[in-house]
Amino acid sequence: MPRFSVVTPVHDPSVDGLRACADSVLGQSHSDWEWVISDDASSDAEVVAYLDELARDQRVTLIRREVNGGIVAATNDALRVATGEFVAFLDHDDLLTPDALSAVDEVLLGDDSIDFLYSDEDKIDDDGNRSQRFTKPAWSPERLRAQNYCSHLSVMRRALVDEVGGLRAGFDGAQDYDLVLRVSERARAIAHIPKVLYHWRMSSGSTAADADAKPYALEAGRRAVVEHLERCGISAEVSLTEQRYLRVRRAPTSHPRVSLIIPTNGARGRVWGQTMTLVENCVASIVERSTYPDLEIVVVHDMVDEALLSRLRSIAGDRLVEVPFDRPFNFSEKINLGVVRSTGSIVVPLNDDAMVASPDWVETLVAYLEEDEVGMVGPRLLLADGRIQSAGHYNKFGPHHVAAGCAAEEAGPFGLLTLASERSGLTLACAALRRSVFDEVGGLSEVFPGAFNDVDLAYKLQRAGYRLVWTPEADLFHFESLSRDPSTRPIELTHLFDRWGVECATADWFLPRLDLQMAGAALGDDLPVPPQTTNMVVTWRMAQLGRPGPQSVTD
Amino acid sequence: MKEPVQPQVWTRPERLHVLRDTDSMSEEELRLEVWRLRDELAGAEASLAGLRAQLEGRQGEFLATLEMSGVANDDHLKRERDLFRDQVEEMQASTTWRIGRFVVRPSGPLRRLLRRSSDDL
Repeated sequence: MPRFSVVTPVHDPSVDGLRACADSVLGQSHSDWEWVISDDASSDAEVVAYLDELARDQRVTLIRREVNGGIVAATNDALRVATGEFVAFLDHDDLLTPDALSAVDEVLLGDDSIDFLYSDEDKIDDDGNRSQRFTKPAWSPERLRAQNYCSHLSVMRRALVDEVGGLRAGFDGAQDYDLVLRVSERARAIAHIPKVLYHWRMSSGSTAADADAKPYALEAGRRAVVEHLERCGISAEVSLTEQRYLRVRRAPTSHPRVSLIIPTNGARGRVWGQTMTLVENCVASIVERSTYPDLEIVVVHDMVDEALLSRLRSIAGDRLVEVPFDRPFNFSEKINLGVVRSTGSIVVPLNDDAMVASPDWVETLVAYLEEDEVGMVGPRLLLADGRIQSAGHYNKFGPHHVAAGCAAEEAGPFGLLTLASERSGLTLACAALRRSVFDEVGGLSEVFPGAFNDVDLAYKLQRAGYRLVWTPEADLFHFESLSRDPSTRPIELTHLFDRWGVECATADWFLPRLDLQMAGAALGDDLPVPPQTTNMVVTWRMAQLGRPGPQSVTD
Repeated sequence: MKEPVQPQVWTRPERLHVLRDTDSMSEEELRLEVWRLRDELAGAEASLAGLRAQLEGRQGEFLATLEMSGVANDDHLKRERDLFRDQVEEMQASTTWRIGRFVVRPSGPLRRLLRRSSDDL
């Protein structure tokens, strides 16, 4: 039994494209493979002749279909005769890099529980020019629901492909997306290889060149996600976005009480030309704009003056819970105290210099928390001038915000800023958690009185097996650090690295290249990738209790 | 020359949590106390995992160094052996050696005779 079966459905490609494809397979540095070609009744005599020539190679198995049945039928025919332990999917004019199979084999040798692997990819034109390198994240199921980011190269354990029944009829054009969704629901471990192992050909009429080339494929992809969400018990509406990705709009099935925990010292700040008491503005925006039916507003205050408290009472009414705090400043301690005094089954730490923008922001966040695996969810935070303040955290080489300073209209590379997806961390300027999860990880660490308490919390949650999701579907303004000194104490950074030094230096949902792009550096394909990150494979594994376990990193 | 002394300094951790008298604590204080302990446990586990990773890394480096030095020594010995063999071959090919062999050749039968005689005894 060979290690790999490369599976290729063929239907009248350009002969040059097919030759290049064949050369890329026959030239693999790894030797333990077979190539199963399923010719879906090609009519081009030159193609037919070339396939016959290829079939003379003992490593090549050629299946001839008498009637054209489409990509699903052709691929399933190939899968039926494939004998390899793993199946690698290759389209008839695309290219594998020479080390593709050996790179996959190397990862598999280190972990026999891996059932599915995907690599980075780029696109290639007919002149051999490469572009649009897709630097992918570690396993990101939320992103997969909006975009088939795994795509090429995908390698799956054949037994699992058989178990889910191979490709499904009726999903032509998105059959691979549908398969990835179904396989990932059962995979024990999933690995991302952050290296380009596949060149996707851009030819006229191909999806690589134009997402609108196959409108039926977009609809098939949407249906695949709808069915996946049904299987996962997630209630959501799925629609197409302008960028031809999917918008998964969840709605909460119930409305449990949500406690907003707002620490404040009653600071005043100037926003949009007006000087205001920040907490008053924050609470007013919650009351006036939020549509959620059961909100509790817990204000943890440094003995602010009675007049301000009186105004807050008149704004929030009986939803207000006042929690006096008379100890030296410690954001974590204030949040913990506020949560203890609150009654909601969902808690939302919220800065007093925040302001509600989306009326249904609470509903949006609560809906994600109905999924047990999701430990924390955060909205998009905007600066006063409308630019992005935070689209989640990126922790490599020191924690910082994704997309800080980018325009709100910015879609980001491969739609990143328009898609709900996993993050390394979320700012506690606004983030929602179930009370049970907050309790499980011991709340916020009081070792971090000012900064990095959110980074620490994110690591604790991920270590406990939870995913952190950022969503662009809910907006709040965050007039960052108007209410307190933004400087950090070196001892906090020391504590952070004492605790999480290994995590800070290794696993992340992003690679530095992406971070460079999102930090406002010139967008382009020629940005350098620091060499120490190129061989870092991040593996996700299914833990007991059905939650994703901690990631392991293999160099 | 004396090796410089590398002192191993222990410093008191900045924060060491001590559980207070729980009898006098309210339910709210107890809840917060449980969170502090859970947090410390999570932090200690993370630090321990970090230390383990560091230890494994150092062990790996040490083994790699040992292996490399072993390989280096092996290479060195091979070179020494090859050099010695070359020297022996060179010596055996020399005129002096050939003349010497010619000179001592008649002593061979005599040695064999002597050995047999001693065996007979």
